Amino acid sequence: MEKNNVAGKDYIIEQLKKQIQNFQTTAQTEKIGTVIEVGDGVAKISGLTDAMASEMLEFPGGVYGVALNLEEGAVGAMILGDYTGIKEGDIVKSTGRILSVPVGEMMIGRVVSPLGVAIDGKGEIVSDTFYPVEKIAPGVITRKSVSVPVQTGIKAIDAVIPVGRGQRELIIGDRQTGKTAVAIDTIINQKGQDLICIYVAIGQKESKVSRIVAELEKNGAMEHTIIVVAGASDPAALSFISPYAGCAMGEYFLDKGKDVLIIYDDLSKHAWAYRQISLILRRPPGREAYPGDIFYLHSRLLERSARLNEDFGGGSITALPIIETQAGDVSAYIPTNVISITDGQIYLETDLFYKGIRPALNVGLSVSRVGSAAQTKAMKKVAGKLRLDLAQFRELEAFAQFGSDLDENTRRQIERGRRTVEILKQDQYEPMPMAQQVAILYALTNGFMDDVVVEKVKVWENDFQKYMKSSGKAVLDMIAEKKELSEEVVASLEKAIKEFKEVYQNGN
Amino acid sequence: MKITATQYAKALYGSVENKSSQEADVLVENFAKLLQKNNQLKLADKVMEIFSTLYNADQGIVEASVVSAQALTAEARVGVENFVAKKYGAKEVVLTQSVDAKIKGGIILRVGDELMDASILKQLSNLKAVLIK
Repeated sequence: MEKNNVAGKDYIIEQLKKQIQNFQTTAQTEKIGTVIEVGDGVAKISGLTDAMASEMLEFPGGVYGVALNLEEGAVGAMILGDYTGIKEGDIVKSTGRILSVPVGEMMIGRVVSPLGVAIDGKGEIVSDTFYPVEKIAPGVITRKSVSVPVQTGIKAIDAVIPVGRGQRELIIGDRQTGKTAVAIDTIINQKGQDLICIYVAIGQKESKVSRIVAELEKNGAMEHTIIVVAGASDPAALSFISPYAGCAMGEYFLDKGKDVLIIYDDLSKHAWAYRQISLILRRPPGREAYPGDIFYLHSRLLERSARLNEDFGGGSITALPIIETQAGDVSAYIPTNVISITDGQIYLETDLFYKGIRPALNVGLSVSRVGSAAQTKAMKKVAGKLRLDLAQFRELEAFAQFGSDLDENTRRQIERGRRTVEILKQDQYEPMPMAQQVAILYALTNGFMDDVVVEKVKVWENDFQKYMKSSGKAVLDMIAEKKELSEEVVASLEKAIKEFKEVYQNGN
Repeated sequence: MKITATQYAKALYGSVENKSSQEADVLVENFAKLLQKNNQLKLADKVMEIFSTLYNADQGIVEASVVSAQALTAEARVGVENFVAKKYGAKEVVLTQSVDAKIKGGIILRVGDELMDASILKQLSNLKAVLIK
């Protein structure tokens, strides 16, 4: 044993000796520059004659930076990481590499920094594939129109404002209106399906991120999710690159022909981070002190969401950017910009939230420019009626207080509207499969619920869903499989609803 | 329009080129007066710097600085000068020397924006990186 050990030691030493002997002593010329100014995450560097735009620069101590401003005689760079150790006169080396992040299957289920470094304590992420953080969006010939739905599992969204794969749907609203909740529910609903989710937290509180991670883990949704975190205490440079880094990680799967969903939470903070960097780099400020290229900042990011046609793999990236408005002001600079870039918006309101309508979706203001192209046939059929009911209800709502003075027809529409609003309420972390949504909405729009008291609608729905999941399972499976309401499906669905109503009435 | 230091330096170089030193003296004095008139005397340092790079580029002079652990022997110095002259195609090499015991051995050669680190310290850190891998 002793001898063996000694032999082992000798072996290791031999190996080391060999390695040292084989070590090539080479000296290469490197392009260098000198720091002439540092402040708040941005450095001005003289020299670096051949630096490229968005090239990585190496500062002493292994900190990296990115060249943003290429000026005569100086380079303006943002520093990705701790900039407190960098001082005037430090030597900066150019690396010749464009800023890129590691990508691959191994990222799934992990929490990473915008540079692709694991921050969940589950071990290092090793990847030999790198994707550039900034990439030009897919061109026209590579694309295809959006036709496959993203099932968010939220009735109000799937029915009224459907989101398709490859679409960009903005989630907009004040603080505390449930914007993140909509996004998280959507991720949870993708469990066991073919959509890879990437949640990019930009300038978010670490506590919020850890709560989200815990919630996703609890619901088993981390198995298809990557979380990219630039926390509130990280430098603005990291917040700035995080959505692009998240998108690059998604593009890896896009190139593999898979479907990806990316949530940018939120782009207001991203704009703030970019404003900070731009102002420190002394770029001229424009409206609300944002730099001139703030529109391009978001448009080039969201344009990278696409649905590719079969010749290019047929993958897709769906984006759900989030914007936080101040006191409901959607006409501020950043909200209007992002509204005009995206293919529709989900508008959440504080008033509705406190009225108890959750998700606090304003169905009137929310739109999806892709529309019913991104719905299954079954959903299209029930949703058409639902939308009509809601629109009529909104028009008549003002008269509702006159109560008995209304004619029969108007009153019926108001009553239907009230029930619709009730049905569209949904608890957090309880996404609903498409078949169940179709069943309940069919019951609603075809008048099977008109005799249920408004206050009892929620209870009725819960019992109905329970019944459908047990006794009506065959019908649900049929809807899920056929994805359309053929006569046969309608007949069995109606039969199930009638049976349930009988049981229910006898029970109460 | 604002005139940049580079433009000043180019103009100055163009006007003193191929002139005798007496003529050049007068021109430089006039140039200083012009700067003063334009309220841009603060650019003087920068203009001088750019002027010297222009002059060096034109005359084939390369400025290099070399750091070594001990003072270079005359022989080594000539060797470095020849190396630089060959690498950058220079007619004349102006070498500034400094001594830094921390680099342990070898030399660090810097020419303009380019750095060639052939010190023992750098080799050791490279070796360390390879062994850790």
